[in-house]
Amino acid sequence: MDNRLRELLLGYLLGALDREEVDAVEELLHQHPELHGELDALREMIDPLEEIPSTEKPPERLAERTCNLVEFHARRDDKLDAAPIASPGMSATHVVSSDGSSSWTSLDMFVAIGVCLSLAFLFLPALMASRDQARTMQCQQQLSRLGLALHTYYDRFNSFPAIPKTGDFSFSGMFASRLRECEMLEKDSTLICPSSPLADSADHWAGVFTVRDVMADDSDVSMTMLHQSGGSYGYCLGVYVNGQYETPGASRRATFTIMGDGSWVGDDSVIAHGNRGRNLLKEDGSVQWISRVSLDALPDHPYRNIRGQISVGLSRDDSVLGDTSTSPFPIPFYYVSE
Amino acid sequence: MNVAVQKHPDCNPSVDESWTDEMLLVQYRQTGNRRLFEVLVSRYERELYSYLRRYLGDAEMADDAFQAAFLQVHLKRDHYEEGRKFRPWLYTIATNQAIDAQRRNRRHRMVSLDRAGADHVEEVGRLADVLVSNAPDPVDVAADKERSAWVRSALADLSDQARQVVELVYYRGMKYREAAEILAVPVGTVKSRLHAAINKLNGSMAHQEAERRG
Repeated sequence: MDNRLRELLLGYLLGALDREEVDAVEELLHQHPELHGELDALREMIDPLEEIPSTEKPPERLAERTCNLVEFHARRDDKLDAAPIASPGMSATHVVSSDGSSSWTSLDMFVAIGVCLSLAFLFLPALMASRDQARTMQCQQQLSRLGLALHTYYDRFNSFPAIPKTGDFSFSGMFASRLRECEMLEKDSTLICPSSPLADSADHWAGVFTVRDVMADDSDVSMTMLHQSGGSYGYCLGVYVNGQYETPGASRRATFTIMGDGSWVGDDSVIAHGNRGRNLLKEDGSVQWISRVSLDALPDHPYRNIRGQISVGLSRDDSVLGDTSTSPFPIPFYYVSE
Repeated sequence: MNVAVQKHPDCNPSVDESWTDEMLLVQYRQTGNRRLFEVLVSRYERELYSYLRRYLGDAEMADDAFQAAFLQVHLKRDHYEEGRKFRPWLYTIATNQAIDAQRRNRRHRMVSLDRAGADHVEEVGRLADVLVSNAPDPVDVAADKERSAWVRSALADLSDQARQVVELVYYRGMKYREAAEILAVPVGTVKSRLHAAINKLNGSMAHQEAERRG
């Protein structure tokens, strides 16, 4: 059974799911009574955790000691804040230093602040726009390089990197893992758009992991890293036509999107370019900037299939980009289609 | 901005159970009334201490981390956004304090295992008292304690990340989404960590059972 389904069932047993997920699981249980057996098996697996109590006796007077500590800090802060900055009788608008010379008046301060604000008002938008433009161009160059890597891969294997239909490795970021295994990825940082929030927290991204890394380490941590291997970019989840799951690549179409800035639903960490638009890599290797407004007007929405789902495309022209941990076949889809 | 507590000794509203955590914190921020903070700390004394105790595997470190967490709540009270749930915010702070405590004391794991052993010896010692009391059958009690010791040992063998997820989702009853927010990871990561942790716990328990029998 698919691990993701087990994770859902486990969450269902523990009351850890949101309302929509609970409804989806109950619908699945209704349609597939055999899943009750799996639910019972999971219940047995978590039963041993009941052997130890959920809470433990805290040490003596823990709450009281904690409040005393906070009180101590609060008093200390009070004293610091009460330290004199100017003499009590001094005017608020005219401060005189200890040697008697005049210092800044409030009028001076207002003028200075006004000048600074005016300068900022004049130049900041231009500076920001220029920085955004530079990042957008760098993102386009990175996507071009990734497109080159994908085409090199195609030339060797006669297909773009395929995402497994089911199982632990059925998620979009596997494309990066495959490129790394074949030594076709120049450097991992190519997978992070410089204007995505992920670029600001790149220290928390472990880079591209391969299946071999996971096998060698055999821990949930390395599996998590593998799931994040795709960085901030989304990759085509493939198409499902006449019961066949296919990976595109052969047609070299300028209209079919194969990769692009991510749009993780419910997670802002990969939404790049201030959500003003997306850079998209097409099947023919070209890169296009599409504004957010134009995105919804495209004949083929690059982030939804023709049913509006974030899952595999449902015709050969139906491209859907999935962020790194997105599966081509989310669980309800998988069950319905099977 | 001056974030020091402003004292209002005369302001002493009657706080009852109907006050939510969020109300207590917002009122504390506005009035600096120490009584409100005390209620908040006492509400979480047992629950948060248990989380830290099991996560860190050491009573003393958990005690320190608990105090440090609430000190941070006090210091960061101006950063708390109204409308946000207090509990996940507190757990995020407490988890960060626990991680800092671990960094300061890399030996926490060894201490944890030693302590688990010491607890076990103490528990066996107390069995003598049970024999002369009206308590349940000592054989059952011993078996229960043995099973409990196994589970504790298996939990201690999990990675820190896996143990965190078990603690938050199973023992604290949080949603996947809340645990993900606290641990600053995607929801999918919480799901896979919990699933892997349960699998590993069962493997570990089965191994211990096999060792015991054979």
